[in-house]
Amino acid sequence: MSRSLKQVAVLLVALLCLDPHGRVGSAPICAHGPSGCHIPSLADLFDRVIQHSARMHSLSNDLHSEFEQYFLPSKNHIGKIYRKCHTSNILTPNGKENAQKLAREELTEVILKLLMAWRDPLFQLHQSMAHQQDFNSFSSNKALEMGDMAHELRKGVEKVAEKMRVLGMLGNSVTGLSAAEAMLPLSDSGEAMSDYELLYCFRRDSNKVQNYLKILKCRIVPEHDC
Amino acid sequence: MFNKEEGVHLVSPEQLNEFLNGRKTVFSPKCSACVEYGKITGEAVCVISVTDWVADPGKMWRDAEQALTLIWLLSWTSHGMCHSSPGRPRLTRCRSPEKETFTCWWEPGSTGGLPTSYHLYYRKESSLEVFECPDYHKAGNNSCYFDKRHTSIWIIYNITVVASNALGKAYSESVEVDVMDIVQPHPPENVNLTFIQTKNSPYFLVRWQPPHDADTRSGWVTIKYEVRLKIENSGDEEDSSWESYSAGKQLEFSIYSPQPGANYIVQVRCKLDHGLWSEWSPSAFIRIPDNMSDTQNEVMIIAVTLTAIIFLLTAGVLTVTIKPVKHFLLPPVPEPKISGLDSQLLKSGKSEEIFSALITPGYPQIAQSSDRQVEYLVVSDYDEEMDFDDKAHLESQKGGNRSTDNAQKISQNSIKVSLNNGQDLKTILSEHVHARTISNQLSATSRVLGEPQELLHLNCNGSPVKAQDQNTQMSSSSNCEHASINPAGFTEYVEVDEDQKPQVREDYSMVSDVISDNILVLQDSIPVQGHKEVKCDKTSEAEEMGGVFEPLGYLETLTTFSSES
Repeated sequence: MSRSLKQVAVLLVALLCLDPHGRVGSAPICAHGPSGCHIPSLADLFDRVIQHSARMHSLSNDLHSEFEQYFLPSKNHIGKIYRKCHTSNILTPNGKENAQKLAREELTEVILKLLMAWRDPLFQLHQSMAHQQDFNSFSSNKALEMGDMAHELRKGVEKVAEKMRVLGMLGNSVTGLSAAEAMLPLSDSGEAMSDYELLYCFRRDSNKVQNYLKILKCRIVPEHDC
Repeated sequence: MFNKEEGVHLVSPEQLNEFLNGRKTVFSPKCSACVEYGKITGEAVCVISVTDWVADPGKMWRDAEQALTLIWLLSWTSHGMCHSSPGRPRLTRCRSPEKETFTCWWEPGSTGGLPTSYHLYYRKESSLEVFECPDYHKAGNNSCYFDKRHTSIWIIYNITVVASNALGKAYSESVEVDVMDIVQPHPPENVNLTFIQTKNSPYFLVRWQPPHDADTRSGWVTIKYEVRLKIENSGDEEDSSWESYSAGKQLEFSIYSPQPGANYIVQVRCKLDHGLWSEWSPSAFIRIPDNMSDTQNEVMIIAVTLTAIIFLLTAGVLTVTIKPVKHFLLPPVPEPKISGLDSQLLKSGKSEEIFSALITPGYPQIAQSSDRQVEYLVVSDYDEEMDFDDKAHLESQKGGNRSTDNAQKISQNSIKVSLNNGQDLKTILSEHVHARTISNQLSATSRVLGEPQELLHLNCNGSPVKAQDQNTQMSSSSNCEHASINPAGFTEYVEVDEDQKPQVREDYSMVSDVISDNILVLQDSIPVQGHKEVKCDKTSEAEEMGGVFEPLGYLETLTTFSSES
């Protein structure tokens, strides 16, 4: 009796191995159509990206005010930030009308440029904050999280751009951004920017990114929330 | 009233008052006492005391800090000595209601007695070009309004206000402003309240409009709202405190289950993105009607009464039938029960009854066969080295009470000491006479133990054993106990049988140690040296016994009895 069982088992194993369909393979999750899973629409993607940018800006806000509270009690505003941010070279619209006047492609490109320009400086910021003992680990963790968020946000915006391109909403003028990469955070005088300056500049730039994304969304998918 | 000529005039106090009426007094350094300054005519009056002037007019000029009774009337033109340059103005705040325009307000300093004009100048970040305020009037006095063309977000403005009059200028402190940081919207508009009466859950609805200048349609800003309300108390009590609710991005909000008959005050405010909260909107009022409460109250009363009646009935029924219900719901857990052991008896404390109950007929099965050989210990009263390494145990059988005592040969009140040579023997003698309780306990344990394999019967014929002798108190016992040392392979026990009536009082002073529930170690006056002596009457039977046991006063548990022999 056991012998026959063994034979049956061997046969089954052989069948499984020989039958190509019986092999376990990897298949895309959504291969079976809309019943399989929920493919996010462009509006959903925009929502996610905007929420993400809101979180990132709020984090940068917190860090900046923490820094200001503990390290600059004198509130010496004069001469505070007359150094340029390293992203000042990127031409960004400075108001609502200017942002609305920009074409979608240009606006998307501006967003991506900004996010790309902050990749290395945020990493530097985290490194320098982690090494100083003045900051507690909570702050330096926030800085790390901020850097990660910026990275993810950039990926997200790239996906949105890709989707828009697929849907024909974007022309092909959105080029790769390799040209804009690797901007060193140097001020006019060539010195490296301090932590405080980096925080201030990033706070401003994250606000810009959030606003531009919202403008873009309401221009492209104005159904809800606009 | 006065000549408008320059010079010194002497006036009476009444005239002085009349002149001073409505005039402002300004301190001028040139005339250190005081200076009256007429707004319209530009006159200035310097008042000094008469006496000083009379005494030394020159001195008055040099040292003019006296009180006033005399008026010097001096007239100054607009460039007179008592005017001064303006004080420093101060920028109080800048606000942007929609992140597209902004306004700055300032507070003027002293005017210095002259008409002063204010100008606002600004510079944009990292540029040196200076601009002037584009609109001084739109936002009211002492303000500057930057319209959309002139507003740039994410750029720092360096703003200064200059106050200037004929005598000079004063610069305010510079303020740096980024429009991103000063966003504070106008409060929401058209807050209205409606009471909706539904059957089960009445509520009232708060609705509002966003501030008219915030642009959400293009997604430039996202507005979030907050509602707060409180109940207005018309009586003497204080108003209750505000309750705030976050309303997200929606334009209406429902308050459920409002207090009937209460007056509510509701306010709404908003903020844009991460900016500042606006001011609270003007209050909206609503009064909740209270007729809805009556019917509800009646229903509630009836329901509560019914519930109470039902509850009482149930409680009554339950108390009557508590036992069967209790048994039904909570069946009693069977307790461990030793057959024959009654917990009631335990509580009564009469130990003999307890243990008598434990003794069931047929236990211990000792010497089932009547032809079981019983070894007898030779008991002598000389100090014979006994083999006390052997283990032995005493067992005694209770006489009379046991109807099924198989050991017929054993008379009543016998102590059986059974000995197994070669065994470790611990002292086993029991102070049997000591207490009936002991014996009862021992007899009780006899059930537990197994059948002794060998019995040595020691019979002291009517003579008290040594134990009895040891204890003078007990010596009165005429009973002789038979001690049997049982080499059974079980935990040994000592069993002492005792006559029905204890001849002695229960005396525990001899107890030196209690080893277990039913075994006492009695301290002999003679230290145990391994001698076992049984002093009985030197009867022949007694001498037959091995006397291998210790003074009877000494009782000890035996450890596990090994069956080696």
